[in-house]
Amino acid sequence: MDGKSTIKWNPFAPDYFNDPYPIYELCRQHNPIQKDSFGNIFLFKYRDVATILESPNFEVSTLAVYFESKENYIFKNSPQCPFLAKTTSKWLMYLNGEIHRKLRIALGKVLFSYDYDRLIQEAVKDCIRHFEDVKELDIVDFSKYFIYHILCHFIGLKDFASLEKVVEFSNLAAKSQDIFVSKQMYLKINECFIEGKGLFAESNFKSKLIRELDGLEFDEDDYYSLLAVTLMAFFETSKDNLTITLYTILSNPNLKEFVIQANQKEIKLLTEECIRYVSPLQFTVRINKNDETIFGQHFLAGTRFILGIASANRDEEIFDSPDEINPNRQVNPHLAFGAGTHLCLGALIARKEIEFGLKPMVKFLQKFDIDSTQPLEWGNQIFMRTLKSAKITLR
Amino acid sequence: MNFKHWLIQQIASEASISEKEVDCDAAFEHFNLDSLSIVSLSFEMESKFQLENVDPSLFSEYNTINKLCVWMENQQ
Repeated sequence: MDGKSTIKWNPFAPDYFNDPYPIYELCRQHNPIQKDSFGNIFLFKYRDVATILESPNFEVSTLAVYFESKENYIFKNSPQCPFLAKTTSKWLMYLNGEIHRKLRIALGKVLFSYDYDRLIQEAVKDCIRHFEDVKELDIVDFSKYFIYHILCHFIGLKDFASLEKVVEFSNLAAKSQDIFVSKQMYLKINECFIEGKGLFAESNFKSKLIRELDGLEFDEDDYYSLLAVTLMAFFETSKDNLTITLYTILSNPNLKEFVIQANQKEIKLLTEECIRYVSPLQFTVRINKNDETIFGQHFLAGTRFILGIASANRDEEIFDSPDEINPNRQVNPHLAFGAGTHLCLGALIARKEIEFGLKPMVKFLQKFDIDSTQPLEWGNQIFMRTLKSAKITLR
Repeated sequence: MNFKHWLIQQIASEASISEKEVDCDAAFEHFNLDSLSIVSLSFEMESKFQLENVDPSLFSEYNTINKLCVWMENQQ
């Protein structure tokens, strides 16, 4: 591990956020298992990441417990009421064991009681209609509008919960899970979580959740935690997945033509390939329950493993020409939705969004040119890669 | 404010010790600062001294207050 290699993953290097893939590749080739100065173990190769994701000997790290342990530090000399741990206490991806199982079943039942085929197809039409007469547009805004319109139809938002408020809430909720976040940022996130309680209206979605969770003694804040994670998980990754997919396809004339001519089966294959290529969640964390000897090394129980999902999805040992979108990639065992017991609950919906959206959206957007005078603007996020702006103008 | 004095104050506050106890030649690991405090310190440094994009890994490269002060002098 580490050995004498001078290749080190450093998210603070210039240009990292513009394109982290060159350093992932170097890490895979020269230093695939790294330890940082805080004892975290970073993994970059597919076989290592997949092994841990699928192993029953590893658990997810508990975000709410982390926040509880840091509250004294974060809120020292601050008038704010600590709300980070409470808001994240029911976030499924940070829960283990029985509570995780129960919440996953309940949220899954509620989530899949909606007709997403119809909701998504309506949102596609509505989104294209909304941008029909514009001369320039930002693909990020286009994707936000689309996802927001699906979300609004099931989760229950108050009238004043405008798109901007949902965008801010979702983005800060995503940031709360990032690595190397400052206490100043946590204070901002905390404030947003307190105000965010006002975003949600009493809704059918919430009533269904309450019915499914009958027997568990959940209070209002617990339900808020579940609504918050649903909103964030639904909005953030879908928006980034679609934005980067559309931008990449519009930048490549061959791919653009392929999408316009593609049949349903071809669109399905391409959807999967785009999800591999984009991997909105770039890293995830697992902790070993007991002492473990893996990769020829001994790790004490409780070691934090930071798994490079996006790097694994570009591993040349598994995928031919991994940095290209290959619309005919037949074998595509990507890890973008994770694997094992925490496999992304919304994976099916995320796939449908691209499957139904891709062709009509590319048909509509092909009359625009990518504005090469305006550079792409990436957000400073390590775990959830996000594009802040990608402008295109009418030809 | 003088950078060195500011840094001593911050480290003392982060490590919950008095300013007198802060040894300017001791490595930062010695004060048991975790990743959250290091990232927060870099962020404070940026806004307090109008620096751009302070890399938290700076604290491992220049791992004492005195070494970090030399780095700071070269920035000005």
